[in-house]
Amino acid sequence: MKALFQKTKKGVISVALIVILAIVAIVGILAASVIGTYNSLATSREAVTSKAADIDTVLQRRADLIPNLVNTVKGFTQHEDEVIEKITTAREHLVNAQSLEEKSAANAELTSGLNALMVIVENYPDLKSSENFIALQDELSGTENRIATARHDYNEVAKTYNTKIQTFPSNIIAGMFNFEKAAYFEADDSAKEVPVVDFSK
Amino acid sequence: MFKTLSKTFAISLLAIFGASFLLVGDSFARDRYPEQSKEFYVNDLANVISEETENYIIDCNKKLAPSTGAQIVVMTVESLDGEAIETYAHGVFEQYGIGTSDKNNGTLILLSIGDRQSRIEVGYGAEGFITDAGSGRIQDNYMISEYKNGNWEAGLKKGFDVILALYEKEYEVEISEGANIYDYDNMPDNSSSEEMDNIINGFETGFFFTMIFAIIGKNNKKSRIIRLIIGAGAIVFGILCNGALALPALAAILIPLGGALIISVILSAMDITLGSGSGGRYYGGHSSGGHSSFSSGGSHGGGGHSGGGGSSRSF
Repeated sequence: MKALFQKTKKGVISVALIVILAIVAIVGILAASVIGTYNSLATSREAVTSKAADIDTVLQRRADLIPNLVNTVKGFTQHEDEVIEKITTAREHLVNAQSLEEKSAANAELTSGLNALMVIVENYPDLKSSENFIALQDELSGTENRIATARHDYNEVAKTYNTKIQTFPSNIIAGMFNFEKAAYFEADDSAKEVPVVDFSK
Repeated sequence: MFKTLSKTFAISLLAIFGASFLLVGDSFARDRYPEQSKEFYVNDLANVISEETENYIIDCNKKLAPSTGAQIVVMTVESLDGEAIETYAHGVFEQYGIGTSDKNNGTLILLSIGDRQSRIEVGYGAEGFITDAGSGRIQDNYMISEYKNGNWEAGLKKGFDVILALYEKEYEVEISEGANIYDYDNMPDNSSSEEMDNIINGFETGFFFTMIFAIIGKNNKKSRIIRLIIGAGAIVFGILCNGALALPALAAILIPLGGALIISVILSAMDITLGSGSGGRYYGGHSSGGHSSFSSGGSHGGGGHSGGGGSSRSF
């Protein structure tokens, strides 16, 4: 080492120093890049997992409200078995759903059933004005709002994550370490339909 | 020759850094909902609340906040501008950061005169004692009948009082006349992600400073004195609004050209990879104010969140 710095020709010292500095700089950049990118990907993936868990929580909350709702409706109505059956079945599908796609579909199915119920409730003013039912409606609306919020938050982090694992240069690191694409939580398309109830039955 | 090379290197790195701002695009998140009022707790955009009631609401909150961190914000608007009241209320809640970030125990009472809609939005941490059904009952029993008669102020105040009573019961406090007014300007409001934001911001700015010094820095006495003065100023400014700024500024003064260059290179690598990752000022996100605040009086949100709980009513 000493020899390097004791050369009489200034030019040689400068070149050696520059080369060393350049190597240090390049290695530094590469290392920092890989570490930084991997950590960024891992953090993003964890955010997706966390928000997905939030979705599970609110979906479970919605499922939990259904038995109470069914009992209240049964107490005020007769022969509304079809709609009640639809809601009960949809709830079962929701509870048993595993993948995000299944949960999304089951959630939409339940929304469809609840929409049908709300149409029927119009025929039962006593039910509609009962405090119990109003409270249940608030809880259901609140839960649906929470689902909407959780969906929005989840889809945002999923988008950020998916963008990272597909754009250059982080896609290289993503491929190296097996970062998989995250599914999106689709909105209830059925919420836009108002089901027609056949009163002749 | 070394100096020329490193200067060229430094300038090109600065150019890359500058370009990264352009690549990130719309980096600075604009606030979507009306800016909070100075006193934070009353945002009477529809101008239906008297000064007396405003002061009452603000006063009660100032007494409630110190021991509980809770915030009960009242807001009136002329119109929701076509937006659903649920998303509007949630958006305001997140933008203002109602309640503290560790307890999320805030509540927002929102009234849209034009749309004839009312909503109570409850933070995560308050859902236990203000349920969706409970908030619905509050509106039905205390507020809606007043609203139907156009008595906006009466409805809002009644609702506020009932909710305040729920907080008093939950936290076992009494909002009485004898309470001391806390130094509300120093309410803790930084969630840990905000601190990370600030540190990354600090590094970016520090890197910027370091690069400038790398270019203009000659190692003669005059330059060193200039750098010392600028550096000292940067440190003072940095400590005032953003502690992390001080460190790179300090480094810029003390380390001569070669060292500053190496540090700049490493910081730029970190910045390019981390800057598009979590945190950084590029994402407005949910935290209230990732900006440094020179608060000269007035209150602000504690960074609390809601999950969409609460209830709405039309009248």
